[in-house]
Amino acid sequence: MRLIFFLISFTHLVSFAQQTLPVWHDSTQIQREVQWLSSGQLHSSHIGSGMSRIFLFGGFIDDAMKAQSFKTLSNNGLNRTGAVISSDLVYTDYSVNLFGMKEFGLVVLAGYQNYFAASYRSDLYRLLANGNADFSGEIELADTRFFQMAHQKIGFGMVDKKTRSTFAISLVNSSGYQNFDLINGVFRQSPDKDTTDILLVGDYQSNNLGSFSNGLGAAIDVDLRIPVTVGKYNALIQIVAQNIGFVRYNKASNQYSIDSLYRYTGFSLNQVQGLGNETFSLADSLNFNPQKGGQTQYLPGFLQVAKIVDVSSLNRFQSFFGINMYTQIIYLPQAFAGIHYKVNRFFSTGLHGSYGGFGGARIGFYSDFTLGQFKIGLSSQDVLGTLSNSGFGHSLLMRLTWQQK
Amino acid sequence: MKVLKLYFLSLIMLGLSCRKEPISWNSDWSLVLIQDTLNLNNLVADSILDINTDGSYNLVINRDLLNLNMEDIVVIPDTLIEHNVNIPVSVSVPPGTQFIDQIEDNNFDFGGLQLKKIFLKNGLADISISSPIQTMCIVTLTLPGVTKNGQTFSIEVDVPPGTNANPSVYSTSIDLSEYELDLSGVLGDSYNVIQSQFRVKTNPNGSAVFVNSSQQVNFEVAFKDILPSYARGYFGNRVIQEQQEISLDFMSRIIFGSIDLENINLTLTLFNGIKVGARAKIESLEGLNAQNNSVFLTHPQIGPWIWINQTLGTWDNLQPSAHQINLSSGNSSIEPFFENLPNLLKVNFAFELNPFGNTSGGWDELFSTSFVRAFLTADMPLAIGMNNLTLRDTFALKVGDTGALTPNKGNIEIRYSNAYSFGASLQIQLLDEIGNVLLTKSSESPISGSQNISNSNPVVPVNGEVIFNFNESEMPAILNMDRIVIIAVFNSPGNGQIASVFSDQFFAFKIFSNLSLTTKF
Repeated sequence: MRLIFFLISFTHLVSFAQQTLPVWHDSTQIQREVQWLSSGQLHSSHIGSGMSRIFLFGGFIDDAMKAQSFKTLSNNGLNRTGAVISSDLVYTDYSVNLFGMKEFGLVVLAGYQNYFAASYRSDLYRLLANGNADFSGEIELADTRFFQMAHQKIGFGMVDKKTRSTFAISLVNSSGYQNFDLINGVFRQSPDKDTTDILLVGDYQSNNLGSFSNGLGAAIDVDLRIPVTVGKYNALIQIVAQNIGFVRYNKASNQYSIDSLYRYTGFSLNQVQGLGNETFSLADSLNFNPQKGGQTQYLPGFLQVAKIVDVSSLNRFQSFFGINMYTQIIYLPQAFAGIHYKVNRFFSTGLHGSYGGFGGARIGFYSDFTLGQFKIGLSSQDVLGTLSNSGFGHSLLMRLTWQQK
Repeated sequence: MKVLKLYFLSLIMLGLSCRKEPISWNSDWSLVLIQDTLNLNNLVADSILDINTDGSYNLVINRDLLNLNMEDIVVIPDTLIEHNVNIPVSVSVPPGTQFIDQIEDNNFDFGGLQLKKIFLKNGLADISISSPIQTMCIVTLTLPGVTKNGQTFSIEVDVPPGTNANPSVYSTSIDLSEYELDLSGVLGDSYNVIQSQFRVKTNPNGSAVFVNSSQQVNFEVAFKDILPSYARGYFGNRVIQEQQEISLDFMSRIIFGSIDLENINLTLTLFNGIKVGARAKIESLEGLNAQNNSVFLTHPQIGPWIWINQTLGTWDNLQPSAHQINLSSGNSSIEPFFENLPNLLKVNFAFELNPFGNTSGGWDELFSTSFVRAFLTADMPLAIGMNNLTLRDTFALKVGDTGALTPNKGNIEIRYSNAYSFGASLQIQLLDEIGNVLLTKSSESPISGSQNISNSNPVVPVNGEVIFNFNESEMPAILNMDRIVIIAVFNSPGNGQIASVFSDQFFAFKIFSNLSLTTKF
């Protein structure tokens, strides 16, 4: 099982894409299907593509890049940056009758997801980027959040042969998570920089021991396909609930709570002389209350309601639109809409726009190729960001499908 | 198809090339490390400074160089009285019959002391009696010269039957606190003598027992931990030698330079609080500075014996005699002595009791309140001039794991407000764990001394800043340092001109670390 998890986890290294688009439905008769969907996105409300490319591939963030990111910081002060890397391998067998029921086939899946999200005030971003040397005044720290969780899953379920709706239940393993939530906070520095006040009210939980498994849990994946007819138009509505579940982390998990106002004015000479072998601990000064023990964390699940594309349709143009979200507070609901164009039976393409998630508006593009029993899809939800420096992130998706009809 | 292959290939290459180098950016950080205000009270003990009405300091020293109390002068060692009492004749002893009654004079050796009377503050008598008599015996031990509240010390104990092979043993311990010991013997003309009376009789309720002259009844009285509260006698002709070392810690930070002191005036007073003829001698008074340079204080009364009269009065109204020695610039080498900046004073002192023998007829007296003391006092204006006076101090300072942060360059900035007339130039040394100097940096400008200070306006602070810049090549020294040495060279204006120091004067400072950091992960 570890080998399977490893192979699936590895796939995100060789593909870099985004998860949500395009969404299509294939209503043709299929015996069995294997689909490998690998996606990744990095999206920010203010970090430009040039700088976010450095976050992905490494490099030096120069003053010009920082200045550019300062220009697009939120006016109300709260900014978001996030990244989701996922890879899923799904085997669907329509030829078997699951539990003797001829309406249902078998689904076996394995997947990997690493979710990272952060929200922070503009002043805090400037402080971390530039330092405090030229700063004086007050920084609001409330609503500073950071969440990261990596998990793998392996599961099985059923597929409705007629509607292609699926339901699966999975065993979930997590190699770690971090959750930082600052409910209230202020950083204040005097003009002379000789007095610093820090108010912190919040929590931090983590389990990052570096081992493969630090917690186990369960999750369900539901993909409902509902045909609807409006007047003379037929449409297919998809309702997705993915990774809805939890992980119970082991007793080595850490939890820190803090409710502290600390004023730092430097040490006195007596304190310095008396320090000797003692070590000053900011954590102690800030009154951190560490605790160890098992913890339960919900997975960052994915919900989507959409009108999707039916690739079996004879129409050359089809629309698709919908709304999706992660069950995590930093990610805002994202609306998307696009147009699908079927060039011929081997090739189709599409253009779409989206707004929300970790940032603002993005324009996406995708192409699907059919080569015999194989379908290959390539997509980006953020074409500008991926191919130029003018966007606010990167997005790539690769979908490889093998179908036996 | 070709396009597709290229697309895939580029994707794979893109993925494999992910994060080949770390993410990094530069930021500038400023942090106040130390913020404090110093005045002279921080440098020296408060107890030696006094403030005059005009706000100037007086140097006040009140310190014992020698202080001998009763237990230092009269030391009574642990002493044992031991007697093996022979039975006079072989005879059958009827019940209730006394067959031993022996009185003995016991002489103590008090190491040259000839004591006639002592009152005990503390002490123990461990008593042990052993008997081979084959019946229970009633043993009475009386020490006629040992009394408490007029009652003579006497115990009566039942000693169980014993045999010649296995004598019975009785042991007890008596607290001798507040007992008086008359050591002058039966006639009162002796010394160091305690009389003991030992009586043994058979059990009145037992049967007759045969005793023979080869048997012995033994008793021991061990006097332990005797501490007198009063002693009378002849304390002998003795010389008590004392060496005292007085550490002046704050002076140990001075490693170079000189100070000028004005109007130094010290008084050394010798007190005799015992009723014994005595004389004293300050054999030497040596001052050692941090560089181990030694200066001996010279004065006509340092070296020769000085006669000290006996005290007057009794224990509750002792009037010790005093002999004063004034040490001034005019009659001693006190100025060079202190301008050597000693951090250690070594005093060799001798005190001789009864230099002319037993002239009191055995009537030397010591009370619990008695003492012999050499006491140093000073009360003088503190006016100093500094000429390259160099102070050196070391602080433990270690930069921990910086994690993703790498310092590129930076500086240590000292913002100060100096209300003293003297200024200072600064140098810092960064040392590793074994004391190797990793880096030495001198300040680009000195700390300025305050100008225009006068007795009517003694606090006119001058503000400024001193900066130590560190370039990128010097950063490893900062990261590897274990401690930091600060060397300050003080100079008074006008080449060390002497000036008063005022209590409101201060040196306030804030030390900042300003660093350009590269965050890399």
